[in-house]
Amino acid sequence: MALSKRSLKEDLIWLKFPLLAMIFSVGAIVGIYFYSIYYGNDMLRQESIVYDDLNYVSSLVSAIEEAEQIIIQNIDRYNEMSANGVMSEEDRVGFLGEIGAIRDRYKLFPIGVTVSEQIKRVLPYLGNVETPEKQIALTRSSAKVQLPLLHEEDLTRFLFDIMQPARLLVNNRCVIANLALGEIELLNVIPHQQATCDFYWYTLREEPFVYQTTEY
Amino acid sequence: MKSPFKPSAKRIMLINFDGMSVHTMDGERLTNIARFGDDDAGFDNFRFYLSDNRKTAITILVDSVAEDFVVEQIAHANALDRRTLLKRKADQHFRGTEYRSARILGRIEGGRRDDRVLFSALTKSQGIDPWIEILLDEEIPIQSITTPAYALCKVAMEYGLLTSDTILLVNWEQSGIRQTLIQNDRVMFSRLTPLPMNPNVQDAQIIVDSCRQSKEYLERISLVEFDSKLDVHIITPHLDASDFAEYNSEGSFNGIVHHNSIDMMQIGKFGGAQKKITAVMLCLDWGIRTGALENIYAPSAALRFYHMKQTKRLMAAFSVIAVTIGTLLAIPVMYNSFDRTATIARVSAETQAVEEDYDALTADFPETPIPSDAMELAVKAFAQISQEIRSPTRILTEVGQVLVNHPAVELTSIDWNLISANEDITFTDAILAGDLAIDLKLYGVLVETKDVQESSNRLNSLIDALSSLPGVSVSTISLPIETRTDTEIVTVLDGDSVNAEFALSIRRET
Repeated sequence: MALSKRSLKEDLIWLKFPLLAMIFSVGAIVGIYFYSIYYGNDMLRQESIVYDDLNYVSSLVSAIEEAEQIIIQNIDRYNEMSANGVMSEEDRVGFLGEIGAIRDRYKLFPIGVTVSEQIKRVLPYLGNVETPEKQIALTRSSAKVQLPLLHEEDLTRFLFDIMQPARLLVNNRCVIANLALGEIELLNVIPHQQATCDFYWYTLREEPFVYQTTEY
Repeated sequence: MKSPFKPSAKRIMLINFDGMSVHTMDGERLTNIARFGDDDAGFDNFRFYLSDNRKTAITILVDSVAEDFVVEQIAHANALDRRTLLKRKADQHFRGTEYRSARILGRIEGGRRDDRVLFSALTKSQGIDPWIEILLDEEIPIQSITTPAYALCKVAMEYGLLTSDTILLVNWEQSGIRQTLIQNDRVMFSRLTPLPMNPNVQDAQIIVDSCRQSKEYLERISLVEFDSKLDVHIITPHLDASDFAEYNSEGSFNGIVHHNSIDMMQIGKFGGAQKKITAVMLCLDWGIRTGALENIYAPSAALRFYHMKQTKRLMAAFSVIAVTIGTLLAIPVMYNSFDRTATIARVSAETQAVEEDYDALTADFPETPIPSDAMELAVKAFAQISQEIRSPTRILTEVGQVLVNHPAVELTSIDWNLISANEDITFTDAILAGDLAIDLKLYGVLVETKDVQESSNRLNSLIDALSSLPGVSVSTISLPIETRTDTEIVTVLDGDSVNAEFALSIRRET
């Protein structure tokens, strides 16, 4: 009697439980392994996130502490600047009035004043300030004062008084020329000298931050 | 080396003329634990025996007269074709049985260098099939099916009986006398001769006669050269060497050596009667102890459960290895993950504490009209510009003090400038960088001078005095008489006063 032929199908049926057990165990361990990898990566990501959060909050605390220190150090000066008009538009009327007051005070000859148009530039931030809320614009007007002098002290007094207020008035040029007078004229109360002084009048202004600057 | 995944049979079935017996180890003893007749009752009992015991692997030793051997030369083929060729040749030689074998003995020297192949088979499968069927029905793994001829070859090696390249190994059994030709450690031929019924003839005489006949037959089929002398080893349990002394002078054999099978079995290693220790028992003993009786005749269908059990073991081993490796790989990852979980919890707690600090700082933050960085920028710009504001009064006062000592000098005009010290940057950039300089130009005349040399000396005296002021450098723009030789002099010398106009430039870094 011949032995029946082997059938792969029957062999597989006979081996189904061990085969299923092997597939299950290998599948389970592969699943566990990949889950552990996934879990490990997830923990790594979460760890990175919590460290980022900690660094972010710490940086916020550092920033707010630094900002607090800056404000404490600068608030008085800033308030003073604001009170003196440095942080606002130029008060040209006040400026002219002040020159007039000086002239009256020292009985000066008529003074010629020319104030040219204002130009602006945005000051770059100090350090690493990436997205500031405000920007500080530095504006500058040129002013020319023509001052006939009886003697040099008139100029000295004028400059002293006009530069006393806490405005940012920078005297960048003064030309003093003797007037050609005869001997008799020298004894009269008439201008003996002519002074012409140029000033840069700076003001500061806060404005919303824009990614644009004007150079001059 | 035996594979750890290869199960070694703990049981050996011996199928012979007497039916079938099962042998196993009882401690250190080879024991016949069951015997079954070659009839329906024996088959039923065997089935019951199998169902009542563990399904361990089993080796079958078939001791039958119906085992044929053929040595043939066939063309050498590659490994792929050789299997098919050998199978076809085996089919041709032994049609009608599945228990056959083809083993390559080597290649012929010279000519085509054909392969020399030993074909053998159990030609009458009727005595084997019922037992195999029962074993397969009961899903018992059959490790191998072999015969005493092949097993004796191993035993002969074990007991050092292979005294030359070609020996004739003879063993006496109750069923007959088996003569096995072994050449170069390989079985070449074996036959089982029934014992004659003549009680008057000595067993030794019968064995020697049988050997003589076998030798003649082997010479005829060219397995042994004519007139060659063979080493003959005879294994019996009941004879001794003296029984064969008279035959040692026989010219057909190189020598006849008798081995007592009882003496060959170690004392206490056999669990039955001493007289039953035959060469076949030695084969069973060696096979069951070593588990190394290789399969000769079992077809693939007979080995089904053995192969599947091996497959099952391999799958189990693979699963265990996979689980072990996976676990070993996963454990460090999981350990790190759990470690990170603790870190996450700790850092989260720290973050929460810092957030509370932040909330407290925010609540107490001073009121400010503009952001702090903008405020700092404005205040610093204001401070820098304020610091750089200069008045002409100071330097003019210093120059005036110098001029008091030089009454011959009269100034006609003064040009005071606050300029960028670096010509490449604008005034605003210079003031923000604190890089300004004062440039003062003096225009005047020397009075009451009638002599060119005198005016020149006075002006030089003035320049020296001005140069002594702190931080000041003086350069001439124009002199009454140019002393440089690379310029042109144009003047009128009329003996009266000298036209002594001059211009000086004074520079002071702030």
